Amino acid sequence: MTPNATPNGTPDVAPDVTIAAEDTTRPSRPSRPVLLVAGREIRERTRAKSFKITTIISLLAVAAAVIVPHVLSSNNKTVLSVGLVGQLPGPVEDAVRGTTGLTGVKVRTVTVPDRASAEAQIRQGQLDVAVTGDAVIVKRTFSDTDTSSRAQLTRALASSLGLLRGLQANAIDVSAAQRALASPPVPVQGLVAPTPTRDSQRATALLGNILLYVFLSLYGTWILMGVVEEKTSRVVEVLLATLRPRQLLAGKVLGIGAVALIQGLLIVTTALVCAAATGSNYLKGTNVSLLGQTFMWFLLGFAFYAMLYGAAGSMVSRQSEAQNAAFPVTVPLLVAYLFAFTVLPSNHGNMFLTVLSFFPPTAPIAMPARVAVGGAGLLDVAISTALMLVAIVWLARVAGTVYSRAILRTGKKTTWREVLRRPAPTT
Amino acid sequence: MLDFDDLYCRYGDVVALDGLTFSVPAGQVFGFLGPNGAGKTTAMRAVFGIAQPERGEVRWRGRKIDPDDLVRFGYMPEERGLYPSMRVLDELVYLGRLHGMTSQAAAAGARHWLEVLNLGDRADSQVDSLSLGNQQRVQLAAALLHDPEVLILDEPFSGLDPIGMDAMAGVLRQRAAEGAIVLFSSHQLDLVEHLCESVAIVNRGRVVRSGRVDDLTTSSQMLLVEVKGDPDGSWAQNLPGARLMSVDAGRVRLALEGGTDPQTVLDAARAAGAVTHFAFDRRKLSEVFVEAVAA
Repeated sequence: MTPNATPNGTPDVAPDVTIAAEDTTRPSRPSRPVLLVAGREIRERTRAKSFKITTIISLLAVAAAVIVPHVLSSNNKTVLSVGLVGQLPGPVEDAVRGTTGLTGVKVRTVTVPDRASAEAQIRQGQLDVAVTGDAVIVKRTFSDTDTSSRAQLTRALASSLGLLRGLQANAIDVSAAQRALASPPVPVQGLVAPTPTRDSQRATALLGNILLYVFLSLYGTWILMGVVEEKTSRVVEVLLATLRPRQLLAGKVLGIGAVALIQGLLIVTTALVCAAATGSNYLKGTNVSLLGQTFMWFLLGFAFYAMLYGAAGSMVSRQSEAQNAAFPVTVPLLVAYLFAFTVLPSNHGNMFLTVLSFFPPTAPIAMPARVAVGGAGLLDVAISTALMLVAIVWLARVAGTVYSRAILRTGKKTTWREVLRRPAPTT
Repeated sequence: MLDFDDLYCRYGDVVALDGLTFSVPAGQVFGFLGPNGAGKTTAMRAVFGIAQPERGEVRWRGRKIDPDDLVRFGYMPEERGLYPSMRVLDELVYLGRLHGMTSQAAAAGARHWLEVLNLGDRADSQVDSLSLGNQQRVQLAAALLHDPEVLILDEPFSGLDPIGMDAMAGVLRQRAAEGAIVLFSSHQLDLVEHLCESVAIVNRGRVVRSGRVDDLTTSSQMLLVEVKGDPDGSWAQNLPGARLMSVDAGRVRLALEGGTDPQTVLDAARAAGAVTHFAFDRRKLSEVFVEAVAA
């Protein structure tokens, strides 16, 4: 940008004689005021120490959220030690080995001379389970709902040994029975085509749901706080001496949006890399289409909510009112989030979620949730996207008007009714 | 020339501007006076389109101000405002770029004005670490660094110490001497009288008196008279044709009504005692102001 060029790049010499006589080295209107505003937002925000710290903390938190459950679940898969107490009959030992094979739990069997030493080893944690001829010994019995591999193994051992005793008591040939039990299952026939990745898709959708909610409300609040800062510090009047209110709002949304996008992508990339490195279950349902759609909904949602939060911020006169002003804007996000969150684990979505997925304020969260569980087709997405775009265009006008009218008002609280009802300004 | 032409502006039921009309010529320091709530700030905001009058317009060089013109204007609002967490130089460069400057030109301009305003060593400080007076200097630098052709300052002297006031006055004079239009509002009338060539006095949204300070202060004759042994100036109470303006340790200021012969006042004084002082005087701008606003 040169100081003496007009937006279209021609030299600043107007046909008017008085203007033509002017010194052409004088500055003229910057060609891209919106980009200047956006540039300041990006520079100042990324320069702030608090931004760097929260970004690092978010990245660590996301990495931990992916890695820690993985580490914990792999701890669960460690080899369990099963003690065989004294000289057990051959069928009992076979039953123990067969059972451990069936449960899929990795087991190491050791022979223990007597019950007393087995108990001692269990108490010391050297043994997980011990099997005598007529009992299974553990440190503490498990509740029925315990799904740990130790509990599953214990239950399986107890029932196998019970079965073994039953066979012997009824004089049934144990080896024949074992052969019979080992025969393969009959096939299970489904009526609808299988969707093998459903579960992992659902897990991924839950994660996407959380991220969309957190990002939209977090970055929306950035816009709100940025607008409130300009209004309460009164710098806005200096800015509006050369900028139109809509340019200022648009630049702010663009700049903060860019920073949000960078931070958001860093967080998602970290999550994906950590998940890939650990083979985590969380992101197995991820595919390019789902990622792309979630990203698209983030952009649409951000455009929508950025303007709402910006308008809400312009009505605030004091920093302390900011939280209250943000609340009504956050409600639809929260509703969509909670609803998608409760509906996602079930199989077929839900009528209410379907409605939410077409309603622009809730669509950015509800629609990707439906897509992730396979509840929404391409047509649904297209219709919802179109509605969203219309809503964004409409909101841009309304929010711009509200912002223009409210941003210079101070003192008594500005109400939505006031700024929406007043007749449009003359320019 | 900057022309305010028949501006009419309302906030709810309150009429802020009621047909405000006056012109500010280039090349002189022009004072904009009026009691609180008279409409000064609204009129200044109207220049920048921040306040939008229902009627009338502000013209620069004979045509309605276009948003593209505003980059050549400098503005210091009454409610000072800067980004508190930005560094002084960054903030000035940003505001300079909003006025169409390149980063380099804006940085050079910012450093120049920070030096002039004695803030050269604070360029890298965060704005909110500066005292309020120094923040105000930064605000002034922000209004000046793009060499505006029109400079509009709302209460630029409030909150400044005497050194700051001198610096501000010097800057305004210099910009006017360079041919800019300089308009500022103030309540410090003695300072305005000293600094301005012309003023407009506004009350309830209308201009009630305007013109060159010299003309306004010499439009009617003032007498300064002291009579020995009369510290209260009681001799001057109820003189026909002369209004008592003030009494200061026996020295009275009298405003002569049109057609009153000063000799009749002298006669009245001599009748009261020995006259130790008798002189013609200018009216003070503050007297013109009070009279104009009271009318």
